[in-house]
Amino acid sequence: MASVDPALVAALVERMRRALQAAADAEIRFEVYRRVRVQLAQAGYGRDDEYAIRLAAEYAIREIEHEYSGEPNEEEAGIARTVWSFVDPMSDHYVLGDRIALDPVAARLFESTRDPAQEPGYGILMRFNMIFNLWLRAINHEASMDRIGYVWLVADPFIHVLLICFMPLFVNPRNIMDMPSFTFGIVGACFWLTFRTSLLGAMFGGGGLQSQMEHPPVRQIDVMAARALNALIIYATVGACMIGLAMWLELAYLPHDPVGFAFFYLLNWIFGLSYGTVIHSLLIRYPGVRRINGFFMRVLAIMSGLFYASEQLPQEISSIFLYNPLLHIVQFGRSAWFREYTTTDASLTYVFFFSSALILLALVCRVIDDRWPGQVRP
Amino acid sequence: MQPPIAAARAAIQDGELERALDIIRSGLADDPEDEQLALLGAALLRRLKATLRRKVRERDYPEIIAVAAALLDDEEAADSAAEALIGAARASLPAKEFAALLMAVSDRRSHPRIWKELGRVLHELPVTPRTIEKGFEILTHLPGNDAVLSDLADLVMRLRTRPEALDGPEE
Repeated sequence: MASVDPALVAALVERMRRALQAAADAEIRFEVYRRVRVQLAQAGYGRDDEYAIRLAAEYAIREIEHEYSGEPNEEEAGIARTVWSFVDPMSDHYVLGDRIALDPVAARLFESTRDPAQEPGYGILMRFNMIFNLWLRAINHEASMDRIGYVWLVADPFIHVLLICFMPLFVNPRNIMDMPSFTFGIVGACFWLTFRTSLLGAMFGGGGLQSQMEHPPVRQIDVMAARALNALIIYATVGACMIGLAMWLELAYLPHDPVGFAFFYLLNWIFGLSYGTVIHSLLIRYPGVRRINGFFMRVLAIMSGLFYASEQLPQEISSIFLYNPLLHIVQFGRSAWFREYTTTDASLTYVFFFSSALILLALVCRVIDDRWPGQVRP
Repeated sequence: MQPPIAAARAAIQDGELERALDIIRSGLADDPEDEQLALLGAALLRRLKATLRRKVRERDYPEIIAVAAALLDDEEAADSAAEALIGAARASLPAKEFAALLMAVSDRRSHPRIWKELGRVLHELPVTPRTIEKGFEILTHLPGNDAVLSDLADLVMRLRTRPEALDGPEE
């Protein structure tokens, strides 16, 4: 309260107390304050002490406000501020930066009040939960397009897989390199369609889920992942149903290495998601990429071993086709499923390096796109 | 003299939406029955709100500040406009410019959030009589605010140690 006359402040406080009743609401108090300010201005203050008088009025108002609000006085508030400075992360006196050694009783007490967001892995769990819920929304969105939406949701992929399955059956009705043709076709079709659909889901940046990005925690990558998850779940379900049907007809059997098969199927999905993310990034800048990609996808479909194994092909052709990492993944997937077949052409090193590079490139694209003008979100 | 609706339209055509809104408001204050002016005002408000939403999404800070300032008097959008304005200004401006911007906005519009924020950054403003007057004005909106009062007392003390500031040009 430097340079302010305490006697003047006390006199003003007394004056305002008299003007205010015990339970004066904010409106009445503000009116009293206004009158005090006006009266002081009308009384006139010499230039030298004008600010001192006006400040005295404001200090007096503060006294009254503290009385009404029940806030502590300056000294008590000072103590409170000191205490807060120990727990305020922005303060120089912050003491909670380092983990404090707690005795067992205190540790138990703190454990019960711990914020779930502090739990290790909570952020990742929440993100998975968000992606799963976005997927549910995507399903509802697609299924609500027409009356037989839910039926069509499964029927459409089912027909797709079936159509692709018939291709190897036409080429060889019984076996392809000792593998049952029907199962061979299902595996190839499910791998390719999962890749293609997850790629398209990611490439178009989320489609019907775009509006969900209005929610601040939802990021573009969540929406893309949810769309791609749709492909994974639907084609895995359709593939499992068809294999089940084939097993019932004694045309197929379960994979001899289910873990390996699941790994390569997931890798195939991640491959599609990453590739779609990269294409999405290019589409933002060069919309014409869409046409080139459409053509490229057709070439990729032929090169991905849907209807054949690379070991069947002439050396000259297989050496070119094996530049396609997807062919390697499909062949490893088939090797994991069929006892009769172990790929000799596919390279795990090639798949590893290509996948790592693509995933890394996709992540870089996402980071850059989040900062791209027009893509920036609040 | 140009009728308010024509003046407002001219301001809109010049891209001065905030001025257009002010013209409409003062026109409606003079003649609350002017239906055309009320319709134009409602359409302009809708456009400003949509623009603000878009600009927030695009993180176009200067535009957010300009549009949000115009919406500070709108009952429905004032709170979110004040938040947007403060957020955009804090994100895009250094501390002193941020404080100067809030001071300029508070000269034209009054919103509790703006007063609170200005109270917090009062110490960033130059030591001038105008700043001190602004400090007293903040206290009329936030009576008894400890931080503002302490900053204001400090400003007064600093001004007294630089008496030339009383007569000299403002910083």
